Amino acid sequence: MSKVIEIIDLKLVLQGKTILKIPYFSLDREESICLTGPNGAGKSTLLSVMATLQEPTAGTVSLFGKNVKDQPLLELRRRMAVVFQKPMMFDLTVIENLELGLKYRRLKRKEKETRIYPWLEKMKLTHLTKRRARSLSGGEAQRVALAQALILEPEIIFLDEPFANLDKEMRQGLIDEIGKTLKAKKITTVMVTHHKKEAAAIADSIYLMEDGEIVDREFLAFQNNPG
Amino acid sequence: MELIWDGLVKAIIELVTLDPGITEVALLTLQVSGAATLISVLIGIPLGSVLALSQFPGRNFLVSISNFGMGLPPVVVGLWVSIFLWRSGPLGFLNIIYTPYAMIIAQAVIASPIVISFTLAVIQQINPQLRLQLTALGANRTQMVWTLLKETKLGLLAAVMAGFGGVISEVGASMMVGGNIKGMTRVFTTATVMEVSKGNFDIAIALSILLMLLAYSVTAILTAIQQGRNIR
Ligand SMILES: Nc1ncnc2c1ncn2[C@@H]1O[C@H](COP(=O)(O)OP(=O)(O)OP(=O)(O)O)[C@@H](O)[C@H]1O
Ligand SMILES: [Mg+2]
Repeated sequence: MSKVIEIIDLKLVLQGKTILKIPYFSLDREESICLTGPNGAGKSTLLSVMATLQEPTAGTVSLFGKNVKDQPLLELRRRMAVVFQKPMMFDLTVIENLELGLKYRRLKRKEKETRIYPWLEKMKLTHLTKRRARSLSGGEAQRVALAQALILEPEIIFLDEPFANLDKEMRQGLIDEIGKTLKAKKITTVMVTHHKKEAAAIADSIYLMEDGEIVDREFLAFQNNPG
Repeated sequence: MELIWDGLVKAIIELVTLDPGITEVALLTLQVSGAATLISVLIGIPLGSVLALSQFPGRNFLVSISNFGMGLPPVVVGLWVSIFLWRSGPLGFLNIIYTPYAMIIAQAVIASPIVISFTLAVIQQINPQLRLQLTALGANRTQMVWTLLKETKLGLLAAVMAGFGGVISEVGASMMVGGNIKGMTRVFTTATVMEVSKGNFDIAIALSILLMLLAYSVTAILTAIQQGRNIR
């Protein structure tokens, strides 16, 4: 099976401190995993490295079967989407924030609408479209960030504790919804979470990180495919 | 006290009657400083953005030059622009010394570092996470700069106002490269200096009041644009 993400001998040193040290890691097409581990373990940083947002000190990162250094980064990035741990909103309306990624990809207006509209409903954002995004609550902003990433219809999606700010009810609804979409659209997913229940809805396995290293892996295949 | 009163009355009379001499001076002041500001914006915003968003050897040196340039004495700028534009100077063939064009050039030299340094500061203080977000969203370089400029339009308008304020109030450079020729290169500041030297304090006061009115009107318009969308 073809590897979508492959990391070999990765090392990241920032300000003299080794933040990541990963001899090998790979992800097959359509495989989905979760990262978990204590604060400061390097989960968010690993996500940034895989998303080509942070260059490693040593080692190779390959995406879609090719070293990222041998590929145009812009095109690579346009095949992926990231939901950051802290959702970042621009000083625009909610709908303008949602459109950004599509605008950069030069989609037609009609196309943008058909992409955005269903996610407004699913993310319960319909009543917020005209609001200044900076005035949103933490949970609302997080839903905008999720929608912003999902409407890009990426091949790989990176989710960094995307449900952390949501209340219990909203969380349950969205996890199921997003889990279904990711599976249906065959989107390779890497999600950081501290909750096993969230992991089970999205991922095939959980990787445990500690001190910049991957120290354990747990398979969830059975929960995922009941029957 | 009487002097100030006389000046005020003169200013009002000239304003109400639209004194043709004064209208001419006001229009030229606006045209020269407006054009100079526009040029400095066209140069300063792109240059400031590039300096803010890239790393290359010599960058810090350029930034320090620009910061230093914000405090350039207009007289010094006037002198150097004159040297270049004199008939015998390297740009003498342009034949524009003692014309409004020379004044525009000198004022643009004064305003550009102001706009560059303001733009740089404004863009650099954007949360780096926002830049990362744009990269992740698949913005190319132009798209990134454009979105960031829109994000900072409050600060950028402040840059424009600072640049405009810097040039509409300067006198040294305009005097030197323009020559304060009546009906051709006479602007509010040079006219004021001249009237003072002639001892016509009431006229000078009237001119200074009209200059402040003009500067305030322009700034008020820019402020309205700046604050307009930010109320909600
Ligand atoms: N630019 C940087 N310079 C120095 N150290 C950094 C930098 N960025 C991150 N770190 C450090 O790297 C380590 C890993 O950070 P990271 O954000 O990846 O942790 P995390 O596993 O996502 O933690 P959390 O669960 O709190 O989100 C932390 O100790 C952090 O302080
Ligand atoms: Mg983190």
